[in-house]
Amino acid sequence: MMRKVHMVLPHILFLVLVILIFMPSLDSVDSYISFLVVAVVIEIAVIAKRKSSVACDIGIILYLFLIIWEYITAKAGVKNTMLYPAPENVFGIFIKDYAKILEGVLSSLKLLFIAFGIAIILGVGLGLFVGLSDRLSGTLLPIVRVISPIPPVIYSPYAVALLPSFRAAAIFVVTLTIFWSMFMSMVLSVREIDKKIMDSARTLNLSKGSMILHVLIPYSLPGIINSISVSVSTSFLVLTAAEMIGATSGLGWYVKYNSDFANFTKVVFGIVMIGVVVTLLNTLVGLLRKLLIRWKV
Amino acid sequence: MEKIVFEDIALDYRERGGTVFNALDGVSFTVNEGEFVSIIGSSGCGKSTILSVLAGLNEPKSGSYRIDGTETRGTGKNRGVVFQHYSLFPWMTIRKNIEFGIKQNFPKQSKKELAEKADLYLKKVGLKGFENRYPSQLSGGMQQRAAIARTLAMETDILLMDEPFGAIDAKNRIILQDLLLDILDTADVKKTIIFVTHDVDEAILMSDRILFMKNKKIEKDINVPFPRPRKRNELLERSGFRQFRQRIVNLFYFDEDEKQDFQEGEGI
Repeated sequence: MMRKVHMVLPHILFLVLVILIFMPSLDSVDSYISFLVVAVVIEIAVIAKRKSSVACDIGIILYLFLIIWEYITAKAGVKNTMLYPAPENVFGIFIKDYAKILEGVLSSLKLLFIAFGIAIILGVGLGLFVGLSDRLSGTLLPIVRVISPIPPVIYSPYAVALLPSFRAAAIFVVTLTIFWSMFMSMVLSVREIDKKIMDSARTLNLSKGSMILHVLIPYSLPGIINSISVSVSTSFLVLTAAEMIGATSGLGWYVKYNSDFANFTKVVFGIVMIGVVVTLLNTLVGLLRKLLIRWKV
Repeated sequence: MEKIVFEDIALDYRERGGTVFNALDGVSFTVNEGEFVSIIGSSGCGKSTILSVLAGLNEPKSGSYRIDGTETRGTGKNRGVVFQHYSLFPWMTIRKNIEFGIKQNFPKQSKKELAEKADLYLKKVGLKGFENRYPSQLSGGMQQRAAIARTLAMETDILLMDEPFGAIDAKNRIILQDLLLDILDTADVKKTIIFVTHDVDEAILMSDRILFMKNKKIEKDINVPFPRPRKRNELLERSGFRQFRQRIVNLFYFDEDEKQDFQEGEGI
């Protein structure tokens, strides 16, 4: 019985939300469409995963949050609608401002992919090189252990002053964020490779190239993907923080720019978009993991 | 013809703390071409170390060894190794593992030849139908079959096996012993095999000669007097089997003084 109520509750809340949306608002509203789309997307997701009670719980929490948000800001009449924007207005920004938003997302993603590209190539390459040499790793690891915990954001003012463009500075800072974890994971994985695997590889008389390509890299791949998945969130954090300093596009810039004009409707929307983009990126990394390390149970 | 000659090999291991301990203390023996020699002894006696020296994974401190009359160091294409723990690469399917092994010894083979050879050995070890699985999707026994197939497929004259069935349950161990005997008996080219085990029955069933190790040295060199090809059940019923087995088991229990009644070559 309890379980039945639990399963039906999100759908009831969905209906409550939809009815609430169509009740007269105190302020003028441009369009309810985006807000409805958001509610319907959540509902579809809950229906698709209806067998999972976790999905129901998440649905309930999301609907309750949206209902309260909608009620307080649009229906009950908060005095300061500038500071507390109603959800239909926040989601409505997408229709009004989609060109700017998409441009911002693309600009942030492009920067992120460049940084990931550089960090992965350098991190894996240098990690292999250093990890394979006792002397190099013995000398460099203590130094790296001092440098790598310094949060790279701290370099951003210096990097902006030092490098020719803001973009270069942002790429540098974000690359550094990803690079250290990639490099460390690669060095440690090469140095602490399973002795059984190493013995087996040595008795096969592998060439150096074969050893790297067919043994060391696949062996390190789970570690590399783990670093990537940890780095996605932190690098986005660094990126948006960097964008708030001096960029002219990107999601961080969008939020900063609009808060300078006290347009908090757009600010809230920018924040929501950052959450959406990070989630999409994490999903992408999850797919990558499934694709590349099928062998791991 | 002498295939492997071990001369006065000594080896020390350095532990992490820096303490050095002796693992082999002047080991000498000879293995003839086509011979199956088992090395037995209690754990820690150095039997696996001999194998790792032969495989080229450990450098001796002093002494030297020759293979086919040539002084040898490091790993080489004339030796194939099977370890106790599944030494397959977990990121390659069973077929890829075997083909990868073949490719190292026969770099010029075409894709088709590779696949055919892999098929042949997959069939020999009874893994047909499992070739596209990853090692983690197979049981320990099946992984060991695959490891044996990979090593056999490299077609080396020398096989070094380090307790290959040591981690496998009793039933599968019997199956794998019989399988290996069968593959070796029916092979076109006689292989020279050094087989490390702590299982006396296994050593008797499989080998032409048994080297008994104690205190980092070879203590006894015993010929196994039973003709080949051997069948497990026939062997167990043979007169003299129990006595011979007891004699070897006793080696583990006698201490220095009591074992005097054993004279060299008495096992025959």
